[in-house]
Amino acid sequence: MEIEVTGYSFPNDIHILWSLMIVMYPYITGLVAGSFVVSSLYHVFGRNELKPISRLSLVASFGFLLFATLPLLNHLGHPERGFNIIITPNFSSAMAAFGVFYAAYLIVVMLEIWLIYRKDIIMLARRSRGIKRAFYALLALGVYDTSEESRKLDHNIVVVLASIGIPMACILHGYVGFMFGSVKANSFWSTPLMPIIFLCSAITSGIAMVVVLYQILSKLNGARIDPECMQSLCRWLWMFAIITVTVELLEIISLAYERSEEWMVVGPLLGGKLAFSFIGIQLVFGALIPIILLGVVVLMKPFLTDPLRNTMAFVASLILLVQVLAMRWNVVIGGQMFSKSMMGFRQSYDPGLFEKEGVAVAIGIFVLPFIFLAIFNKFLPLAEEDVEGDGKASAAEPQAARGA
Amino acid sequence: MEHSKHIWRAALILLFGVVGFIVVRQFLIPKSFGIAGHYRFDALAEFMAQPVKHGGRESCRKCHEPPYETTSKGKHARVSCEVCHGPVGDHASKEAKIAVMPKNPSYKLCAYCHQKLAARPKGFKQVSFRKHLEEQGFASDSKIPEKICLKCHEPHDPTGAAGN
Amino acid sequence: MEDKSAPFNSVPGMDVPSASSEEPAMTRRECLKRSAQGACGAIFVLACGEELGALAQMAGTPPEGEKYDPFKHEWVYLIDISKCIGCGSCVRACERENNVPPHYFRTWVERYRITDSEHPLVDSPNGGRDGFGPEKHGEEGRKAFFVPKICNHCKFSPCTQLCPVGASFRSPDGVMLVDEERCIGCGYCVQACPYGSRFIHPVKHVASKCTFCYHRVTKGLPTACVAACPVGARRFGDAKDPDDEVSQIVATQPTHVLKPELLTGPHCRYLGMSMEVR
Repeated sequence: MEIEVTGYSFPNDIHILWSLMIVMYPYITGLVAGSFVVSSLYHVFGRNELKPISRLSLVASFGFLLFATLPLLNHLGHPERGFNIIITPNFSSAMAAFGVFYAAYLIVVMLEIWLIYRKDIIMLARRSRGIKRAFYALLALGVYDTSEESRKLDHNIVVVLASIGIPMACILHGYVGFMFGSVKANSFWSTPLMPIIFLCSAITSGIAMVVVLYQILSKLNGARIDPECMQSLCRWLWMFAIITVTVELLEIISLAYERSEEWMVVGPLLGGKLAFSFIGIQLVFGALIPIILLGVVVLMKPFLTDPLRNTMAFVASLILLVQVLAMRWNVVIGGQMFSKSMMGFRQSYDPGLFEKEGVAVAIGIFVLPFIFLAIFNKFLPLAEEDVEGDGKASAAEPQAARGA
Repeated sequence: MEHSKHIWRAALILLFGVVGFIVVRQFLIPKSFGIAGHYRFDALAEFMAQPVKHGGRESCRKCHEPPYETTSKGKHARVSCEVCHGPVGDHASKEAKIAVMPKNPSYKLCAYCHQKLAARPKGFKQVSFRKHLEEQGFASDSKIPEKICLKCHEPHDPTGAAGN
Repeated sequence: MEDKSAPFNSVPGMDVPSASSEEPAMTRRECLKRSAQGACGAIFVLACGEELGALAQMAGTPPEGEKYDPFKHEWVYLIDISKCIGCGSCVRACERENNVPPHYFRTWVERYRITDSEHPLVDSPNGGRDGFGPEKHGEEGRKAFFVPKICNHCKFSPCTQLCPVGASFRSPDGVMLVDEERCIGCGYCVQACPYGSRFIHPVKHVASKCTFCYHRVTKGLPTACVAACPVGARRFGDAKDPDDEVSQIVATQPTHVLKPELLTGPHCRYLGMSMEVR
């Protein structure tokens, strides 16, 4: 066995245990929380300019939520026993809370989506025949009530659900940060800032993902990208990108300034083995460039044409998505690169392309939510539309309506 | 609330789901779980049932009285037979021999304890092998013969009468 | 009463049926309560099969049928650094006794050589299993010693605190164990152990660690590493037994634990510890 370690590592600390899958898990969960927050900006905080993406971001959140557990399950030594987390949860464990938060959040998001789409479902059920009609009728739970009163009731419940959903989304992702931040054995992870760092970067990645999805969906539908909506998204994204980078830097700076024990090993790590993914991607390429691009979009609004704004937002969002992934990598993998002896580094970790927890599987898992979104779009329109109770087919998604 | 029928239906489904989960969960919790803490108490019995392999010096005595006696009198009295020979569980079962006990005649076995190392306690008997062999008049070429220590030392009583 | 409600009776050999399948949980819970009050006394019958009984007899230890009550013991471990010769017998014995997979360690020995206390030279080739090679000239260190390490069986252990399913637990006698039937193999406990005592078993895919040789100490035998130590650097005792030598040393002499700043409450104490040790 070829063992390449530097310094002294505990003999059980030779390998990096948590793989690319554990990088993907907080990444996908972050997208869940982030896109939910975006949808809540409209549903709860009344940012009406975000109406065009309110449905898309909510369904996107649901899509990522459905597959958030996959990387975790793939990593477990015994995935078939994974349900033990909800059968005998040990509530002193941050990980055990996962079952409760996940289930509760899933229910909240599902209900919210159902209430928001209920009118569409009923209209589509009325318009369809055969199996399709039965499917929509089942989705409507057999109740074809589109009266003003029922719509009002739905709206009120949605506001309540979305309000409950915000703290839940924050807990769901904050807990992922807490999972790392509460490991006192690992001083790179162990900081109360960790949940905040995770939450901020989650919201950043969520907004960035919504920007990307919105632009793609509009292209596919041939619809116009709403400039006010895009401008608003850019403003939020800019703000959260700046906060994210600030807290990320804050953690490193305080480590270095305190000259704490872990800095003796984390310092050389960030400047050495992690230099590319930390300094190169997380700080310079991933943070500096998009913050400048978004700054231009926000500050020079009168001088920008719509296509230019859209392109800049799209590029900045893609880069920020990479930045957040790099941040997850640097925390999860970087935090394991040194031994708990604090005197040496472990064997370096390069995920294989086709291994069980390798790159191909990670990409496969990451693609699944998008496939889900495409299928969802076949049955119910992702794009926001202004249909009144007259049963007019949606302009954005004519296929779904005409399908019957 | 005549327009809230759909809400009640959804709530009912949710209720069924939650009750169903609580019921199913009851059947999936192991019986001894939670008796003395948040764990399966029967696991303790399973740990206890793991086979014992090292029996200690006394377990060897029944069949191997002479080396037991020799060792007891010498400098290696505190070294359990199994340290050099391996566990008795691999060798005997129900007082019957099941496999040959390995004998490692190599000087490397002696070196585990007696190779001179700076980290060893100063009072502990240790030698620099090459230097020791030279002093004893053995040619010190590149390779040390495997059984060289046995030429002078009886491992059960290395400094006793059997020694040179 | 004793035969009916004892969870640990009638465990034939290595085949361990769940004792609980026969009795309702209530009875045993009651019994446990009483056991804690001392009424039930030693209801825990030694899980000793025929073969094990024979071996235990050969070893001159109490025969089959001896009762073990986990509520009446609290195991502690004592390591005397000044005595350790770094022979690695403990590592080899542990490996054989517990079928530890190669390149993973339930116990290991580290060599410290210190000239500059900020940069001590530390090594543990293959956990010290194959002994230590002679030091290179100039690397002997002005101060040099061996540090045997095992799981510290912390009273406030980070590993059991964050096991999501209750597979890692602290037994009533103060031993940290992993229920291999419930462990999901997430590796969170491995990350949480500040001492590097845990690993994911490469074949079983569950967390694995030192058990204080639970199958031995519950039969009155010392752990395999203690039994193997030729110089008495490793010792084992019962903190609930006031006459126990180790518990007396722990109670009356200056001892040290690893990483005390983490307040994990280790049950493994060190004599002659040096500040450079992590």
